[in-house]
Amino acid sequence: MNEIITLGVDIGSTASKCVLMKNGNEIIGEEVVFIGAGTEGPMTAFNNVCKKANINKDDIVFIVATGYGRNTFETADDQISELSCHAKGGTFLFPNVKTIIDIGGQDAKVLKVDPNGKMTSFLMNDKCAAGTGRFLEVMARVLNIPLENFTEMALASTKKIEISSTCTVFAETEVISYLAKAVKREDILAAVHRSIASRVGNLARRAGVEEDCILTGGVAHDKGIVQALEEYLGIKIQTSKYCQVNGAIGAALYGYQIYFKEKGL
Amino acid sequence: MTASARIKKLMTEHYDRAMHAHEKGELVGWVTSTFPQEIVQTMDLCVVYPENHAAILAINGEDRKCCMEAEAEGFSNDICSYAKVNLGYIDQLRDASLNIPLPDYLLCCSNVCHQLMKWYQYLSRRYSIPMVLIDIPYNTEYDTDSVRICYIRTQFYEAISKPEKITGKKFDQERFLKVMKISSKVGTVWNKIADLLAQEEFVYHGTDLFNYMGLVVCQRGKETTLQALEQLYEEIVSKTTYNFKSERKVFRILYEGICCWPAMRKMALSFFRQNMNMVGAIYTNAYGIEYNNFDDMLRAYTYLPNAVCIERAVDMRKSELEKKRCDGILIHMSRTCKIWSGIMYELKHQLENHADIPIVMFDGDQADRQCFSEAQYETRLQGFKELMEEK
Repeated sequence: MNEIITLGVDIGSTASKCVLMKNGNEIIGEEVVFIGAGTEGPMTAFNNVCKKANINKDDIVFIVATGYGRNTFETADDQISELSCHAKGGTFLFPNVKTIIDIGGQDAKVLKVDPNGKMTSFLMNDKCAAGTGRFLEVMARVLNIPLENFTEMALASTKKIEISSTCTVFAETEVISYLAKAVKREDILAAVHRSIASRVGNLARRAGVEEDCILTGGVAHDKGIVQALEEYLGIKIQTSKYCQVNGAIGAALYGYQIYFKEKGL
Repeated sequence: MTASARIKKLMTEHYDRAMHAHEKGELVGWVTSTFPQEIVQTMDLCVVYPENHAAILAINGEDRKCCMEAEAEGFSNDICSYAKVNLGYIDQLRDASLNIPLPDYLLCCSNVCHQLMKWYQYLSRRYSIPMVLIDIPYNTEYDTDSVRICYIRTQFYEAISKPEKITGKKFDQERFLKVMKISSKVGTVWNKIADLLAQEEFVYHGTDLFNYMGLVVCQRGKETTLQALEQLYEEIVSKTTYNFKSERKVFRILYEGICCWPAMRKMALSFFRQNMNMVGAIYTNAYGIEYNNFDDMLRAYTYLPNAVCIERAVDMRKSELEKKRCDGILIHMSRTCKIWSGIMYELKHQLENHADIPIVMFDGDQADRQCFSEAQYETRLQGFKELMEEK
């Protein structure tokens, strides 16, 4: 049988992610472009992933788009919500997963999946930037720490302080006042992580956390968040190097599934 | 004339009468949506329902303009958006797609919430006009006992004598009995129309009920309303107007919460695109008020969605789920309807324990579009459909 190549495109508010999969079980290419819906980000990610994987676009048998901008990607053969795609992707990466926590650029969600990897319920927080990647971006600017250094710095914290504001804007003010009092940036950063962990952790608790629990989304690259969430929820939280493209993986997997269904196979 | 056209004509006449009332020397009352309309219709009072008016302005895209005016005036962003739209409308913007005259008196009933009381009290002070209140307290017990009925009955008599003095119109007992009969029949037909959605075969889009409920809210005790709804029922069952066809499975959903009027058309369209039909809605069911006698009528007004205890509220939903064989529940968390949204989490929890169907919430508001985000709603709706598909 010829190799079946499918593409998943996750068009978020702040980033466009593409994943190429072969035969519904092997990731052969991934790409993240840090501009999202309404920009050239999705097409750029598409072009880049094909180039990197040395795949001709015509070899792709099915494309599924997901995410906030899923209906704007005209090349897609189908659109599926990011909820189902994250459930699918999370189960592919961690077959025993029961709870998926996804922290995106502007929202956070918790998905429950059954032993067969099917989504059984979800909760979303998309009304507030606190507890999302946006919150971290704001803090990165205020603290003058690049996002990629967050893990290292937060893990070097020695003193526990609190950020009590639930609003991103007011939390920023709180951070500034800590800086003015010469509080160490490592300690502030750790507090920022705990603040996110409590917001997202509460959402997870409402949904009901069961292990195995995984964290997906770009924020999962920040091990400080992972650690803070583990402490808050009192459970082990797993992540993957593919955490940021988890939705796109799920979309590519759905593409494989739908392709065969349409073929009657 | 189709039933739909007839209903539209009746609503137009309702608002036209109000707009020309002062020219003819007639006083105009503003009434809350669940004030016993039997009093209004018996005395043939010329009234408008500001909640209905606010809903129409919201559908027509004028809600934000009015809300901003109300907020600029000093009203909190958090108050009921029906009130915000109305307060913004009366302030400076009395040139909208649909206009209403200022009131000469107010008729208020607390069985929806106490927010309405405060709104109407403000109007009463502002315009130095009388306000008639029937207090129907929130009932923590499952059934409404005779003590409560006695309390409401006493107020009912006062609520007749006050408008008599204000308007000069007389309350006629015989006419009242006739209005009660018509009102209950209207409730019966309204329920019959809603119950058509329990059938296996879909005969209309459930969201159409939102289009027609204005008539039931504003003119429930009128013979013309009964005739229009009977015609609507006949048209639906004979399929002369409606032709609901779908080759894919259509999911039967219970819509919970007040209608998100600013997004009502978008919602109807998105249900259609996602192969869903709203087969049940507690909000529209609320006006299917049927009764056999006077005390029954009073009792019916105590069983409206916001006036009952959580146990009765849950049972109402369970009954609807069973009757309509729902595949899922879509909950509208209206930001400014605190009393209804406040029970949603517990309601969801109890219904999850009862029925193994997906229950999804989305954020919105009854008459303030800034609380509704289409993209976020569409994501949740699609996720909701995917959950039902997996079942």
